[in-house]
Amino acid sequence: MTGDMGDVSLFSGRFRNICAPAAKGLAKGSLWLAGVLFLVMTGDILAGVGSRYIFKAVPVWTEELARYTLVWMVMIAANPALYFSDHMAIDLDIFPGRTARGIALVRGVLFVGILGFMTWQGSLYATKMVPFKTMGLGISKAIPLAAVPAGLGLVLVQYLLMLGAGRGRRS
Amino acid sequence: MTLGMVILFFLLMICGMPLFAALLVTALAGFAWIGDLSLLRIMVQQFFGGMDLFSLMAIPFFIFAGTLMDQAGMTERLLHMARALVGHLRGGVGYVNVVGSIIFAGINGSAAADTSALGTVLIPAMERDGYDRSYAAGLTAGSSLIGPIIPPSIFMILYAALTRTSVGGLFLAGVVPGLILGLAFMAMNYFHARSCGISVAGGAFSFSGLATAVGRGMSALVAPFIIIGGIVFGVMTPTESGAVAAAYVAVAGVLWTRELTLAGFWSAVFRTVRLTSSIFLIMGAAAVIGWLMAWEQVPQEFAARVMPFVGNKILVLALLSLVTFFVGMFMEEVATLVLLTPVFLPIAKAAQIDPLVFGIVMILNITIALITPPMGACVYIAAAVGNVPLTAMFRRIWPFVACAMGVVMLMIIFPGLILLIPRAFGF
Repeated sequence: MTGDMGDVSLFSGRFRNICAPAAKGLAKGSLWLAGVLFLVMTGDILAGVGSRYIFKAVPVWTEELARYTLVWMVMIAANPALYFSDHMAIDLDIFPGRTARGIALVRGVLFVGILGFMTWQGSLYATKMVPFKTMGLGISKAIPLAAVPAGLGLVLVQYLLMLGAGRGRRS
Repeated sequence: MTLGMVILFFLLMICGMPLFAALLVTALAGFAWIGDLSLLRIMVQQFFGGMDLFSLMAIPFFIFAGTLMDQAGMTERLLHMARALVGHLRGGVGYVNVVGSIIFAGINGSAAADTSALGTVLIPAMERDGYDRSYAAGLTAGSSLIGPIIPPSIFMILYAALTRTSVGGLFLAGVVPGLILGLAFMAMNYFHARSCGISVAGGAFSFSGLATAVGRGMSALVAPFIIIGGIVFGVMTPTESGAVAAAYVAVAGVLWTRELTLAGFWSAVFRTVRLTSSIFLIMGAAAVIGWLMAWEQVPQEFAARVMPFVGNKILVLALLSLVTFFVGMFMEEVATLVLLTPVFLPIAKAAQIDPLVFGIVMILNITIALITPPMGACVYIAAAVGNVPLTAMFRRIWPFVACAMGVVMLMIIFPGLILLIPRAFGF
């Protein structure tokens, strides 16, 4: 039930040789970064619990830090999830050759379109929120909001790299 | 507009587009239909807001604790415990499958994880004991439904966040329905084992053997006590108890079972972040659709159509169950829950249905969709790990679907069964 979007081969030869390791490198690098963010979030929550029972008080910023770290982790891990075919999708595989290729093309265009749109809108929104501060951490609201354009932008890059690498279906 | 969005969404799904992207494209089409470009920023706002909830943060920790347990060798210990408990009965491995699911349910709360963990070991074992392979895979997929019903449960966390219901109350409300579901599957297995002449494969029951198995499995059994106890007794929030349980499993995996390696730890971390990302992106995208539905007053319109029946609680619950079941057949479970709950909640409230009862019935229906075609993820997993053709799996699965539907009907007619434990704890 997991979907693979990298099923349209556009390029060949040297370009493919560049794109394949780049896609893998981006996925692995992002996965490590998301993993570290997850551990930071875990540490933050545990510190909050410990602080509540030891010092009878929880710093106000712990919840906010955990929430924003989670959003950044989710968005950073979105491109490895695409690379490893973790995103939920239906893989019916019932259409004949030419129809299937047509559907793959439409799907690819829509996927690139929506990722591009969300990246653009996300950047605009984050930029607009630069002057505003968060309640707990006191940082600019643009910092957590930037996770959306950054993460979806990386998904877009990952998808294009996968297309360039001509990666076939993975189950 | 709503009908157009539904059709577009299903077309995108059939085309194989990732669910989160299909939801976002559908939402964009909805905003284009409204025609007010100033509303476009709401897409990002809602997408971010759908993921930025402290109450949802428990989800990655439950996934992490379950994955880590597998890496720490606790899964194998739990299976051994189930075998010591019921392995001596006729058709014993079938019972081990169900009891294993009940025990696993108390730890990871994910049906898909249960199916893959138990199916790998138990489908071949059941075949060796004389079971038909497709039945074994069907029972594995069916009994994995217990996972999201017995606490902890990812679906319950989601429902609680959407409806501001107590997570502790929901967790307790899931215990009786989960156990009844387990008993129903065991009864099915009893009749199947008798009719097919399945032999008694295990040795005689031994208290010392059971005590040894429980002793070995104790390392794993502490985790659900941390999670459920922490929440029910108000010691910790669900997120905190999930984090503490995950930390416990990591420490116990190193010091107690001594099977957790650094590579296993990172493997669990990577699996957790990938799975969490795929779930949270859907929740973010579903939040955008949810905003559009609220803008279009879909919940109010739906409520107006169902209101004539609100005098009869059973009828309302049965109707909502039926809709949830059918939608769940064609849509991913998290999306079904996130999209339908806000639409159905006003009706449930108007009919004076207890939110705990409504939640458990919704979650039961959504869970059953995990084993129905064409989107039944657990059936696909069981077919893959059991090496069973999908056609055979889908033929075999219907008795299990019917059995689970019977349990849903029982809960609808006797909601007191759901409320039995929560009320005893003051929820």
